[in-house]
Amino acid sequence: MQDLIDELGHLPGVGPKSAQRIAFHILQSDPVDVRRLVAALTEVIDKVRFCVSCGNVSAEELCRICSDARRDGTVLCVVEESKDVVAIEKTREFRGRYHVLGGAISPIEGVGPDDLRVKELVTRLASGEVTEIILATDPNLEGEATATYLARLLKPMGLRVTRLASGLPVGGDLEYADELTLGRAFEGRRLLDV
Amino acid sequence: MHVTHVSLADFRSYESAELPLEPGVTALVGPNGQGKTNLVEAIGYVASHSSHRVSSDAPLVRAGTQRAVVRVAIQRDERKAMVELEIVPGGSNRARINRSPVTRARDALGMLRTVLFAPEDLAIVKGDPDGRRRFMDDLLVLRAPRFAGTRSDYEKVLRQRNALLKAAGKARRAGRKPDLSTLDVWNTHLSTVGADLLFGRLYLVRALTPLVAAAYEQVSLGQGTATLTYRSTLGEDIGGPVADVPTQYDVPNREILRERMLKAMEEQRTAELDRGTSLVGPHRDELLLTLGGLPAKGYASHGESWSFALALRLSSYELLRGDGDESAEPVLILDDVFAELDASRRERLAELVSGAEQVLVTAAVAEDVPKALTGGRVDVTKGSVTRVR
Repeated sequence: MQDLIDELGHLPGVGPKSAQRIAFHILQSDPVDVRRLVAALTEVIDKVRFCVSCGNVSAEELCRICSDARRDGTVLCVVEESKDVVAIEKTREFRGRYHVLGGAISPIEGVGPDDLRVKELVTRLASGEVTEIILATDPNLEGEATATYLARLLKPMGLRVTRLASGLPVGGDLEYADELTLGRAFEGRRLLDV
Repeated sequence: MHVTHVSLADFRSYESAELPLEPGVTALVGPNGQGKTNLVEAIGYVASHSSHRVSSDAPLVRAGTQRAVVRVAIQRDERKAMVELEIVPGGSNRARINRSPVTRARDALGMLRTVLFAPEDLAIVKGDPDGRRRFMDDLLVLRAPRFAGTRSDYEKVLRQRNALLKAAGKARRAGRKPDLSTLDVWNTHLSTVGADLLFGRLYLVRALTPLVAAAYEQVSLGQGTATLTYRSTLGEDIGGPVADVPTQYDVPNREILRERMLKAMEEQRTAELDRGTSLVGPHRDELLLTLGGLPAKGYASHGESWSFALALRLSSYELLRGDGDESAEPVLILDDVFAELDASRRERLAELVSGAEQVLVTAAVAEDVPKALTGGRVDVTKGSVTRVR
């Protein structure tokens, strides 16, 4: 029992108390439900891997998005993690393809460009199909540094390099925005075309 | 502005405490180790989000508990405000203004302004440059709370850049080729934030210099001239006064400072790799305190050093008081300072602060509080707080 609690406690967002609750819940559940969970976990380990092209999680060699011919192959969106792909897909705004870096540059954690899928990105761009790169790394220090690094690396290749806008949340009040966000929104203001 | 009420929960020695306060002078009196300083430390923490006694937040939380809560009611003109700060060591603090939570604790900075005098102030004059940089940055944040963001961003970028330089230096010593492909990126970020911090500091020093000179003259009865000079790692010409007129110089704009910092990093590249750390920028700058042309550190006597320390705090008070309307006047806190001073400095300090809107004084014995500062008195014994008058 303690082994199970310890293992659950390693999961992100699960503290010792929650781990104990989950463990006891599993103990009291229908064995059929638990076997289904075990099967799902085993399947994830056995079948899910990373797309050879974009690095996103995938069941096949090439992920669903990379193999979808209806996707626009000229626009590439660069994100840090697979979960960012899920977030952007939910918007249904973006019809291009992705490139998952697998993190952000952070010397403190010993992560440099060589530890990210930067080489794969450059290789992918060699074919010349991609004309625009959207840098969608997190708007924090490490994400910004990664974006700056990539922009400098890719600019000489003659690509259009863009960065996601930072600014005011939609549906919010201006007065509640913090100074940094408001300042960024000012920097990124755009012409209103009417 | 003044504080009308303070309440503490699990702060330092207090499980809970309630202290109503009035404008004017209030003396907190009680033997050592009874919790007087804890009360004023809590008020100071709400204003600056840091303690004047310790650099980490862990000692602020009562032993055996996870968090401390300080609640301060503030009156500014006719307006009342309540700021509540939950101190969580090792985590992020949470703040509430008038009972509504704010996104980040630092959004609550600027609600309360204090200037705190403490025995630790002597270290600003006699101690390491680090203490003088902290003095500048704390005052900068009190004046313009947005610099709290600049300051913490700068520290973050600096840590990343130092980690990179350290790793590169290690690789080089091991005979491998160091990975410096991202150094330019960190240079860009460090110089952008660094220029903003430097810009803020230079403006601050320029405004503070004449006030320090005037305050020193008052405290020491005209015994010498106190001057501040900002000495930047970007070069002597940045931030220095023109000839002997301390206020006659222009502060270069952020863009110039940014370029200078980039250039300086370029020039120091080999040295930075050798040392494995960042050698240029505001974190290595120094605020030089001089007395009659000689550095206060090393040359000034004990008494002169105390006069300088008092002058720095008094000029901070003057500076904050001069910002905008009268309601911006900060609360003065004198924590155990009178016991440290000789009779004449004691009397003059008392005279200079007696006109302030609110003065909170802590002292071990009532006799330590000068006559000029009569007012309310609160006795503090074994963590219990009783108003005597």
